[in-house]
Formats: sequence, C-alpha cells, structure tokens
Amino acid sequence: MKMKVYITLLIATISLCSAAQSLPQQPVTTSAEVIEAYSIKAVDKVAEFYNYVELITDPSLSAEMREHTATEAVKLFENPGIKVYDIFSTEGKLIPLKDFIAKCLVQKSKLILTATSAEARVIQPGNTSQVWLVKYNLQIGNTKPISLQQYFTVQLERKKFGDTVKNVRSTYLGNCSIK
Amino acid sequence: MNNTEIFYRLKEAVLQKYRQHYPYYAGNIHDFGNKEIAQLLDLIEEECHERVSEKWVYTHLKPQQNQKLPRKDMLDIFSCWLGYAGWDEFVFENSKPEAEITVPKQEIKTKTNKRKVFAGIAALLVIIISIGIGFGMASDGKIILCLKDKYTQKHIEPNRVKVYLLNKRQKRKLKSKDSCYIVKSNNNQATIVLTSPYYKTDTLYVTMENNPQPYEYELQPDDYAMMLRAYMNGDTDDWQRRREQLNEILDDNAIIQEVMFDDIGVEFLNKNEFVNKITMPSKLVKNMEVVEIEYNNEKIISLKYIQK
Repeated sequence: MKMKVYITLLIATISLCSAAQSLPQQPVTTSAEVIEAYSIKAVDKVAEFYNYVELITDPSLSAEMREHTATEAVKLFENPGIKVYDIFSTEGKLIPLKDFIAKCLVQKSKLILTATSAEARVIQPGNTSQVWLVKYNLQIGNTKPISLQQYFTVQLERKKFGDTVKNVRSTYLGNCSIK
Repeated sequence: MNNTEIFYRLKEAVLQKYRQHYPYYAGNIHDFGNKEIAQLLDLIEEECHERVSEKWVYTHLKPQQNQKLPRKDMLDIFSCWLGYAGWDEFVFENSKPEAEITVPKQEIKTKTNKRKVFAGIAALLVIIISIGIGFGMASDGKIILCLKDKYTQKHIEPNRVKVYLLNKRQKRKLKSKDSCYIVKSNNNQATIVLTSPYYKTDTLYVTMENNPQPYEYELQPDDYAMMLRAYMNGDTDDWQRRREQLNEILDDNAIIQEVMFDDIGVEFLNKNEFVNKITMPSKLVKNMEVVEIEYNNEKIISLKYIQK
C-alpha cells in the first residue's frame, strides 16, 4: 500500500516538473511580491505610453521613426478602439486610441508629458487574467495636471516565440477616464 | 505619526548608515545614482545576506514622496540592516514625533553577557591566529585587484561586474573601492570569480602576497551584450541597419523577459517585439539594463533585463 502511495507521489511530481519545464518562469500571481511587481509594471506602462506620445510628436525624429513609434504605442493597448484622454482638446474628452495617434502624428511641436502621483491597485484578481486600475495626474507642459484613471490588464495567453508557443502573461493598457 | 512618515524616517536612517560607510557622500537619498545604489545594495547583502533589487530602490527609496508603504518583508530587510529586529521594532522605536532618528550601532544593542561571549571568542581567535602564525600557517595576504575592459582599456564600473572570493565552504562578494577590489585571504592562493552580463565569466587563481601595487586584470567583453547596451543608449541614426544587426544576434526562438525583484517576469517579448522596442529612442529603452544572457549556437536565446 505504502509503495503505491510513493509511486503515485513520484508520478505526480514528475508530471508537475515536466509541465513547468514547458513554460518560461511563471510567477504565482497571488504572491505579494508578484502583485507589487505588476503594480510597478502598470505605472511603468502608463509612463511608457506618454513617452511614446512625446516621441510621436517630436518633429526632430524622422517620419519613419514617428510612424514606427505610433505602431508600437498602439501595441501597448488591448485594441485601437480603447478610449484615451484627448490632450489636444480643450473640452477634456475621451477619444479612440487610433484617432488620438492620428492627431499626434500631425503635430508640429513636441509635447512634454509627465504622469505623476501614479498608483495602481488590482480591482479584479485572477489566475488567468487580472484587471488593475492606475490613477495618475497627467501634466502637459506646464499646464495644470489632470487627474485620470486607466485600466491595465494582465492576461495569460499563448504567444509565439519563433517555432515554439508558450503560455505567458502579457500586459495591456485599457480604457481611460477622467476622475 | 503614520506608517508612511515612519518610512521616511527609515529612509533618513538608511542614508545616515550609508554615510557611515561613505562619509564623503554629500547628497541625499533622493539623489542616489547607480553607483550609490550599488554600494548600498552591496552593504545590505554583505551584512544581512539578502539581495534587494535596484528597481526596488528606484521605486521606493529614491522618490521624495511615497504613495504607499512597500512590502513588509523588504522593510524588514532595511530595518535589520539598521540594527533593528525588523520593521515592527523600527516602527515602535521611531513612532514618537519627537523621537530622534538613530542608527543603532551593534555594540549599543549588544547585551553585556553577549559582550563577554564575544570577548571570549575574540581572545580565543587571537590565540589561534598567533599559534598559526608561529607555525607559519597564515600568510595574511592582501592584494588590490582592478578590472579593465580588454577593448577600451577603461576601468569597469563596479555595478557592471560582480567579484566573488571563493573559499572552501563559501562564496563572498567583494566590495569595490574606487573601481578596484581588495582581496584578503589567509590562504596562499585565492580563487576569484568574476561574473557580469556584459563580460565573459572569468576565474582567477591569485597567489596571495602583500603587494601595495594594484593588480590589473582585463575582462573580455561579451560582444553581443555590449552591442545591445550601445543600442539601448544610442540615438536613432541608421536604425534600420541596427534592426538587421539585432536580427543577426538574436535567435528566432529567443525569449526576452523584463524582470523585477531579480527574477519575476512581468513582460515576455519575442524576437520581433524586442527588436521593435529596442530600436526606439524611448526612456524605457534608455533605462534598460541587461541582467542575464544565454546563448544557443552563438545567438541570444534568452535575455533578461530590468528597468533601472
């Protein structure tokens, strides 16, 4: 009887190990350390987006590089239809990402954007997907900061790395709203 | 006094203790650069045997204002380094508004009986060492090791290389001083291991002798890692050619990870995604620091980076 238990445990251990080897190192999403890591990543991703906007509006960069950056900016989001804050409008409205990027590409002067007092908290935890909310103040040049909040998602998805496909966690920015 | 205010006290105490080791540092903790952070992390690792990531320091110690309190296990590490049992004791001792921030010295906290035990052990050690010297067993050698880049002939910044002294039972990380390392050993020969994501790992077998002249050693750069570093700090000129070069050095199946707290992967990029990202002149790219590279058939198959 004991021998059967040992064999079962051994098989279970081997199965778990072989499953783990097929993936790159995957964090356990529930640990405090991983939660903190993603909270930093969420804030970084917002800052990354606004830095891309600065580059897209920078006339000193070639048109090709601005287009390339615009393409990369869209990839930070779940889809091009996501609503973002229209920094070019005086009415404080939200517009689809693709329209916002189009406006950025025709700018003649570089924008200076700073996201400050940013903090992220998980509002929908889960093992295969998580939804976070990032609150921050966006300052355009020297103007008065605007308080915004934006969704950030962590999703477990199958991703291609050359010939192989792995389960990895990907992160995306979501809809923005004015606080 | 709330916990965030007590955390600010901890930051001040960390700065005070850092200055005990580096008294010439005139700035404050918010001005810490790569060098100061690397020195601080080395001190903590040496005394507490815990490694804190650079990212953590950038996120929590450097900012003038903190929106939230960092994780308690990290606060415990810093509190222990300051001579407290942990964050709870630090809070208890520093929660009074009029409390002066003090960095307890080890001897202040040591009880009298512990002092006696320590004195006894020290006396015993002195006797053993004296006997050892008497029998010609201890050479007590000291050398100064300075590392140079083989190509540029410039000294290598301490935060780009880790230097370990190997003993039979342990591996001890050496602290840098003015880009050099003081190696002390009672053995006639010392084994030193040099690791870096930007240089090829090297092992030195050094004959210990009291030599005041620095011993210079050249490290062979890892060409691909250096190329990546150049791209990360480069401008946008000729970026299409850079794309081609990156395509050459990265394996088609490469997995590129952004990691935090040493090894938590928070972003997984394939070759195309990484090439697209690294060829932009973004702040993110300029703040990338390679921490680990693995090769397969002389191409990068795995790469880990952090955001400084």
